[in-house]
Amino acid sequence: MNDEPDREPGALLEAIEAAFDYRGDVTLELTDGRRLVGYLFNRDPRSPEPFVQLFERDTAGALTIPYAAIRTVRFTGRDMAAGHSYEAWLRSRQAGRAPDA
Amino acid sequence: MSVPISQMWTVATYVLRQRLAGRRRYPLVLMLEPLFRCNLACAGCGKIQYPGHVLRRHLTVEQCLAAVDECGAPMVSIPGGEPLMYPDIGPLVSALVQRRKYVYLCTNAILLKEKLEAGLFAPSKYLTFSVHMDGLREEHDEAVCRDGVFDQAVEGIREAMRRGFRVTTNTTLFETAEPMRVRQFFDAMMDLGVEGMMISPGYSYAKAPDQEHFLRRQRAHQLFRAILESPKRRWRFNQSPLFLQFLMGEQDYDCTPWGNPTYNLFGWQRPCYLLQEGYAASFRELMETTDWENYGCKSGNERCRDCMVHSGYEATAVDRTFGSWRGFRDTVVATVASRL
Repeated sequence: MNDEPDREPGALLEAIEAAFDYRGDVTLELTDGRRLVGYLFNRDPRSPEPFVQLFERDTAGALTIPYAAIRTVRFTGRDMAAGHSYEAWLRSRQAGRAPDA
Repeated sequence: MSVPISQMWTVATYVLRQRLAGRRRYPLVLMLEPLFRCNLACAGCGKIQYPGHVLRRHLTVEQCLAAVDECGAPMVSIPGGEPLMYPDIGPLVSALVQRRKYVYLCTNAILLKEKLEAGLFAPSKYLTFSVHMDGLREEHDEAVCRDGVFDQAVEGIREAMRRGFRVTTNTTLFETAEPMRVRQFFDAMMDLGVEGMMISPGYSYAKAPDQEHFLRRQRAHQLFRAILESPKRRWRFNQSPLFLQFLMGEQDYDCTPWGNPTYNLFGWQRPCYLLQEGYAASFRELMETTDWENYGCKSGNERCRDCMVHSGYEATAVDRTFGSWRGFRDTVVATVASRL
């Protein structure tokens, strides 16, 4: 994502949906200038006041932030669902058994 | 079917009460996930792919019990993550047993022997260790992506049974399953002496590493027919015979996603244990504000099309058993005749 604010309502909604689907941390830049880094685990665009919920990386509780307070969403953490652990495991298993083959 | 009479009675009277109260949608099994952390990273699992700070978090016992009380389901399944890594698993299970909830603690059993020796649990008819076993040694170790886990699980099972605990197995089958090997696996589990077995086709989690080996519906029917068509009398299943018939294509059911509601760190998961479309703050909000018509294979939802997982369909089968004479008759016939 670039640093341009997601000013278009459609762009912000899309970014929030993508962040909800993302299995890594995101950085929310808020309209008041604050930056929040954490895992966005929920969003409700159908609520009277649409909101997201986030576990900040270094704090215990969950935060609830209205869509209206969000300026940009950036995907700053590693996607924990990316990669091919199954294939990697098969390769290492085959490599480990090679002498018996 | 190997479900004890007292448990069957509890479930039957609960379903009848719901029916008499005119409740069309009611929970049967609460899926309580106190944490996402696990000591395995199985290829078919989409439950644990989170940043480290999320994996280090867990629910408090108070949060868990509040969810159990609000939901009201007679059975509580504790998956995860690996529940034996939950630091308060002993007090949580004890509190659930005191509430007379039938608890299925779903574990890979790597830590089972250690936790039993530490005296964390007491045997009870309300507590069952449901041990993840995806086949014989070769198939299981491949499914969990680590050699040696099958043997550890068998050791844990033996120790639990020796101490008088109820133990069942929970098996997920994928495209690669070979019917003869699965039948041999059932024999092996009966030889081991477990109370009963649970089986289910896997669900294609969008976030699971292995996306290639999930079963499509027709292929699933063929596979389960090949496995279950001539069941051995000694095989005992800890699940509804109607669900097994559904797997074989002999019953036509739709999903009841509200039957197994899921509560975890994020809240009440919409709409089910497998799909993550958002979270409600309370069980009531989940039930009242989820668009249930959009889910199940008959809804046309692409992501539900091939799903036949027990968390979606076992509740349907149980509702049919105790909610209609025909369902009850079919269940009795299947049980008495040992014909799934």
